[in-house]
Amino acid sequence: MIHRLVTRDSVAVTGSVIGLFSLLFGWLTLKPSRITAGTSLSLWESVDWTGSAVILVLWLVCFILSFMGKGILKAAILGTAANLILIISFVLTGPAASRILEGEPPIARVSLGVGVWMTFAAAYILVFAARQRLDNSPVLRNLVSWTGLAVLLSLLIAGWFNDLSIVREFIGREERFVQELLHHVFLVGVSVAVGTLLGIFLGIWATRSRRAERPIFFITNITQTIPSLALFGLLIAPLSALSFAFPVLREAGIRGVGNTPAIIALVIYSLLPIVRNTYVGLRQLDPAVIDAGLGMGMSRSQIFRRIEAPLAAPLVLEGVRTASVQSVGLAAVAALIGAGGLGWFIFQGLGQAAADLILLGAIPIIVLALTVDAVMRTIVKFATPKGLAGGNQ
Amino acid sequence: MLNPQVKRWIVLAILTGAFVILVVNMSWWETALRFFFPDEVQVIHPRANLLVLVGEHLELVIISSSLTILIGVPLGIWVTRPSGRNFLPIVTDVTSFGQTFPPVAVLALAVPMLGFGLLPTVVALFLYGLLPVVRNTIAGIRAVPGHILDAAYGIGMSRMQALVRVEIPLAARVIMAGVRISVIINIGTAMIGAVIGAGGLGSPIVAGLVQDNIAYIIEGALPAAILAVLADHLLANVEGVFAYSTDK
Amino acid sequence: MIRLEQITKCYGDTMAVNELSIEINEGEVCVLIGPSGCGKTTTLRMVNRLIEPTTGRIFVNEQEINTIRPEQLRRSIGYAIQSVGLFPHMTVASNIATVPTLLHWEKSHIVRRVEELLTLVGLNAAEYASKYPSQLSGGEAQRIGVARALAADPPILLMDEPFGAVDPLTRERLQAQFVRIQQELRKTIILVTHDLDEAIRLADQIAIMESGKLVQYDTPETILTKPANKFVHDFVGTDRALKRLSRIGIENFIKPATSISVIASKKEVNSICKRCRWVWVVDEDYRLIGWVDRASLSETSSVKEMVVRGDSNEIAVTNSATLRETLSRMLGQGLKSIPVVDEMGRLVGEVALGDIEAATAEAEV
Repeated sequence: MIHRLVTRDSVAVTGSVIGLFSLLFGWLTLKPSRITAGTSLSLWESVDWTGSAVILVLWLVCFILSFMGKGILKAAILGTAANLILIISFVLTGPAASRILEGEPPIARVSLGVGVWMTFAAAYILVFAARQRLDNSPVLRNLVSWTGLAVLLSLLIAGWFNDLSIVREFIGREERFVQELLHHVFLVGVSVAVGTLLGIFLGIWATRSRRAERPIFFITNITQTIPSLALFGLLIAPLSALSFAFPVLREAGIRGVGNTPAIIALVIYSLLPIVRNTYVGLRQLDPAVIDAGLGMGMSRSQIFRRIEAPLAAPLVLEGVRTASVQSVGLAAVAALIGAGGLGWFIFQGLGQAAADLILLGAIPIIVLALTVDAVMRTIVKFATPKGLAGGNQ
Repeated sequence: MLNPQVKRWIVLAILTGAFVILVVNMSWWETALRFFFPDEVQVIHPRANLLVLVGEHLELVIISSSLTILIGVPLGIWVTRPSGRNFLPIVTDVTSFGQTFPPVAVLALAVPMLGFGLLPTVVALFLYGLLPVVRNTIAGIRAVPGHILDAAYGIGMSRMQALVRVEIPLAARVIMAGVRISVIINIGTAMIGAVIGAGGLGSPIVAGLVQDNIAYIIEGALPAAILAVLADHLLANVEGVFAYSTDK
Repeated sequence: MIRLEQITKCYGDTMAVNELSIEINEGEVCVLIGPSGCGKTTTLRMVNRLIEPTTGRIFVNEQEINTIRPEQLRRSIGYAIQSVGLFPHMTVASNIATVPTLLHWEKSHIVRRVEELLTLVGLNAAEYASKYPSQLSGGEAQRIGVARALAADPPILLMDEPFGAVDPLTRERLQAQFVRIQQELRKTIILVTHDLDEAIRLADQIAIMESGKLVQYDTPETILTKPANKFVHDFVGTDRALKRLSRIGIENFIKPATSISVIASKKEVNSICKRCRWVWVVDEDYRLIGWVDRASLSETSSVKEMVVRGDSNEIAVTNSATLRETLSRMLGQGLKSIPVVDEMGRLVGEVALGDIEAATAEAEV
C-alpha cells in the first residue's frame, strides 16, 4: 500500500521533499566583507517567523498534493503553490537583507545561501510536475511556468534586492557590466555570422565534391575536439608574430591577444555544426525530387533556390543554434585571453575570491545562453516549411 | 590486408606512443621553444614538467569521467525501467537544457560552494559530464528494437537478464558516444580548472598570459590539443567495437 | 496438455479475447487463425504470460501457469515470432544457445545441441555457427529463430506467423521442413497465421477466431467440409476441394520420368522412348535443363541444339510441393505432366494430371 502511495507522482514528491529540506540549510549568509566567509542564517533567522511558517505550510501543501491524484485542478494548485513559495520567499528576502545589514559596517555583505538554490531547484521540479498534467490548458500551463520568474525579474529591476551582495557588485560596476555584455554579444554575433557564411559555403562544397568532403570534415572534426583555451593559445603565437612583423595590423587593433584570436577561434568552432548540418540538410533530399524538378524544366540554380535551400534551411538553422549557444560559453573563456565579455567578471571574481562577483558573471552568461537558445529555436520553427513539421527534432 | 579496425588501433598506438615520448622529453621542448622564442628568459614553466602536468590533467578527467559513468549510466538505465519511468521526462528535460549551460559557468559556480582546487573542478566536470552520458544512455536503451526485446522476454530471460545480455550490449555504442562527448568536453573544461588551482595543462597557459610569455602558452596548448585529438580517436575506436547492425 | 479456460483479455473498453476455451492435446499442432484483430496473437502471448489474461485460467500439464515464475515458464516453452528477433550482437551459435545457457547446461552439451539443431533446420553447422544475424538471408534467419526456440527441447512451441516475412518460394520450403520436423519431434505447437492455406497444410486442429471469440475448432477436413457458420464458410472460401489438396504432398504421385542427356544422339532418344513426343533433358549431373520435341530432331539437328531450355523453378515442382501447387502449375502451363526435381535441381520423376484428378475425386467422397 505504501508503494501504491509513493507512485502517485514521484516527481512532485521529490520536489516537495527537496523543498522541505531546503529549510534546514542556510538561506542568507552575512559576510564581514566581500571576500571573507560569513555566518549562515536560516530562513527564519533571515526572515520573520510568520513568513517562514507560511513557506513551510506551502511546502507541506505541495507534499500532500503530490499524493492526491492527477486532476487538472490539483496540478494547477500545485503549480500555484510552487510559484507562491518563490514569490513570497523573495519578496521577504529583499527587505530581510536590508534589515540584516543595519548596524553592520558598510563593507559587509549578504549573499544567497544553499537554501535559496535548493528552493529554486525544488520549485523547478514542482512546476515541471504540474506542467505535465496541464497539457490541455495552455493558458494555465504558461501561467504556472513563468509567473514566479516574471515576478522575481520585475522585483529585481525595481531594485527590491539592492542589498544583496550580488546586486551590490553590479551596482558598483553598472557601466562596465553593460559594456561587457554588449561586447559579449558582439563577439558571439560576429563569429557566428562569419562562421555561418563560411560553414554554409564549406558544407555546400562538401556535398558537391567528393574529394573536398573528406578533408573538410576531417579538419572541422579535429578542430572541434581541441580545448578552447588550447586553441586560443595556439592562435596567440602566430598572431603575435604577425602583429609584430606588420605594425599596420597593430594599428587596426589586430593583436596577439584580445579580440582577434577569440573571434578566429570562435569562427573555427562554429564551423563543424554548420558544415555538418548544411551537408546533411542538402544530402537528405530525395534525388527523385531533384529529378522531378529537372524534368519540369527548372535550372540547377532554380532547384537550389526553390527546393534544396528551403528544405535544408531548418537544419542549417539548427546548426547555427548549436554554434551560437556554444559561442556564448566559449566567449566567456575568451575573457581569459583579454577579449573581455561577461567572462571578465568570472575571472575577476575568481582572482579576488569574491563569490558574488563570480555569480555576476556566471548567471548572466547562463541566462544569455538560454535566451539565445530559445530565440534560435523559435527562428527554426518559423523557418520549417509547413509540411515538414516534426521532422527535424 | 589487415582488418581496417585493427589498422586503426595500430595507428593510434603509434601516435599515442609518439605523444608519450614527446611529453617525457622535456629537453626537446626546451630546444624547440628556445628556437622559436629566443628572447624569453624562461621557456618552460617552472612549476612542473610536462609529464606532471599531463598527469594532473588526466587525473582530473579520469576521476570525473569515471564518476560520470558510474552514476550516469545506471541513472539513464533506471529512468527507462518501470520503477524510474516517472522521472524520465524531467531527467530528459534537465539533461537537454543543462547542455546549453556554458561549462565555464558550471565550473565558476562550483567555487563559491566548494572553494578552490581539485574538489570543485572534479565536481563541476562530473556534473556537466553527466548530461551527455545520461542522455545517450536513455537514447541507446530506447533504440533497442521492440521485437528483439520481445524475443528476449519470450524465450525466458528475466528483466535483469534481458537488460544485461541484450539491451546494454546493443545500447553500448550510443552510450560510448556519450562518454566520448563527455570526456572531450571535460578535457577542455579541465584546462580552465587551472585558474582555480586544479593544475593541469591550463596552468602554463594561464601563467603565460599573465607573464606575457608565449612559450609557456605553447607549452600548454600544444600537448593539450594533441591529447584531446588522440583521446577522441581512441574513444571513437572503442565505440566502433560495439557496432552491431540491428537489421535482422 | 494445454488448456485455456474462459480466457478473456480486455484493454479498456475493447475485448481482445472473449471467453476463449480450448484444449490442445500433446503432440498436436493447433493453428489459430482469423482476420486482423481477432485476438489470435493476444491469445498466443497469454500462454507464455507475455500478456496476462483479465479473467480465466490457463493450464499446462494440469498446472496453472500463473503459479510458476514467468521466466521459468517461458524457458520450458519455445517462442518463435515473425520478426525473428535474433540478437544482433551474438553469433548464430550464441543465439541458439540462449536458453540452454540460461539453464546452465554443460558447455559441451550446448555445442552439440547447436550443431544438432542447425542440421535439423537444414543449415550447415560449421558454416553458420559463427555467422552474425546481419549476414543471414530472411529464410535463414527464420530457420535459426526456430532452432533457437527448440534449443532447450521444450515440449511446447509457440509460433507467431513464423513464415510470414519471407518470399513465397522460401515459405513453401520452410513449411515443408516444418512438417518434416514435426513428424520427427512431435511437439505440442500453437501456431498463429492469417494464411488459411498454411493452416490447412500444417494443422492437426484449426481454431478460427473472430473479434476475440472462438468460432470453430476442428480438424482441417471438418472445417473445409462442414463450416460451422457463414463466417467460417466465407473465410474458407469456395475452393475447398482445392484447399484440401494442399495437405497432400506429391511423394506418392511421383512416377519415373523418361529423360535423356543433353549430349545424347537422335538414335538414343528414339531407343529410350518410342511413343512419347516430348522428352525431358538433363545435364551430366542429372539436373533438369529443359525438354525437347522428338519431331524437331533430325540427322542434322542434335538434342543439344533443339532443346528448349527452361528454368526448373518455372517448368518443374520440387519434391516437397503439395498436390495443390502442382495442379496449379500444370493448369497454368497447360501441361499434362510436370517434372519433379529435388533441392539440387535434379530430375527425380514426374507427376501426371490424370493421377491428381483421380486423387481429388477420391477425396470428395
